[in-house]
Amino acid sequence: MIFGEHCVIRAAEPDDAPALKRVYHPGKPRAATLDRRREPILPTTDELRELLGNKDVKLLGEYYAVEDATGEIRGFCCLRAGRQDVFFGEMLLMFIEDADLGTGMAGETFAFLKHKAFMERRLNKIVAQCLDTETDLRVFLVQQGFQSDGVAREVLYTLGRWFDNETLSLFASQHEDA
Amino acid sequence: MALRSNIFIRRAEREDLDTVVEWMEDPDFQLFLYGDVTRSQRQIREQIVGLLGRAPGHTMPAAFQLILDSETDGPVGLVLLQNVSWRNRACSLDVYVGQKNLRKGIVIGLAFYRIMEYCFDELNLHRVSAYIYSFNSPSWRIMERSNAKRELTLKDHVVRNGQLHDMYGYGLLKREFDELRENLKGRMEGKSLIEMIDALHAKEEEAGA
Repeated sequence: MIFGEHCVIRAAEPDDAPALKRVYHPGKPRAATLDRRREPILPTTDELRELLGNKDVKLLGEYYAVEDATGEIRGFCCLRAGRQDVFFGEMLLMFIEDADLGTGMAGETFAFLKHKAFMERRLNKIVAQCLDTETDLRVFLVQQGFQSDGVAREVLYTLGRWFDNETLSLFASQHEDA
Repeated sequence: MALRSNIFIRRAEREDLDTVVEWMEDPDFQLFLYGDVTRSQRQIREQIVGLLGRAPGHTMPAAFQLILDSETDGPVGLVLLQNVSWRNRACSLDVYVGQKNLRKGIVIGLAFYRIMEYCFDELNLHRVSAYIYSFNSPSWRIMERSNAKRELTLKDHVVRNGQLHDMYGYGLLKREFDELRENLKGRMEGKSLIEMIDALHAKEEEAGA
């Protein structure tokens, strides 16, 4: 467990599945919840319970729950960096409420992931994705020093429209602690 | 179905296995295509067997494995349309030309055009994506000449031969391919994509000069 000033970060457990399910909101697509074909998925609580207990998934990138001071889960995060020949990790930062991205919780969660990526895993860079509607997440990422790699156009069709997907990166060399 | 010209595209058969495995054993295959370079030959073979052995009759497959075939040279290349999303009407594209002398120019240019026709006119896709290493300039030049947009530049993204390289992400939308076809109207017959586009560019440059 990581005890921060604003939140507690701990490894997610199967019992956290109901909270994780809230992130998969069908009316609010997020890049972090799309599958490899960039299709939105609507997992059941049981499927998420299985995901959070799956050892293979943990090897690829463990999910962490972010709790506020009252013990309520406010979001999840993950750093996917499985393959040995890859020198970057993909960051998933998923708060149930976007407003939390503007709080100290998000800052502490990102500091945790950044330390994991650059200090523990010695990765070259962190990559993050956001859809064109995830403006709060994009603002947060840019504030943390991420720079845009570009926008893949019209990659997702849902809610009756096309969505663009932006990729952003933060290099270890840009990270002051690296 | 086979889209025929000097070269044609057909479904990959089990009989293609040895040819494809032979291409995959070529160091260039792992150099240019995305994947773990530490895979063993057995793993590569298993991957190919898995690809070619997938249920062929599925009406909405998640991937298509096509062979670029030539009446004169036999099988010359492999086309993988992967991560097919029927919801987003999109797929990712990998093309590998096994015969090195055919990698530039007519064969790949015309084949690429035919593959795009297959994606947009037959599969009714909206978007084709391709990730290409920055050092693989023949491949990304074909994408650019085909009206695809370089949407992503992923800096220092992949290690090959001990060095970090950039990777480019390209996207070609159906309307952009239609624009290309409109520009090439009446000039397609008997000519390769590259020849036609180069001629078009040369003409435009002449007009602009």
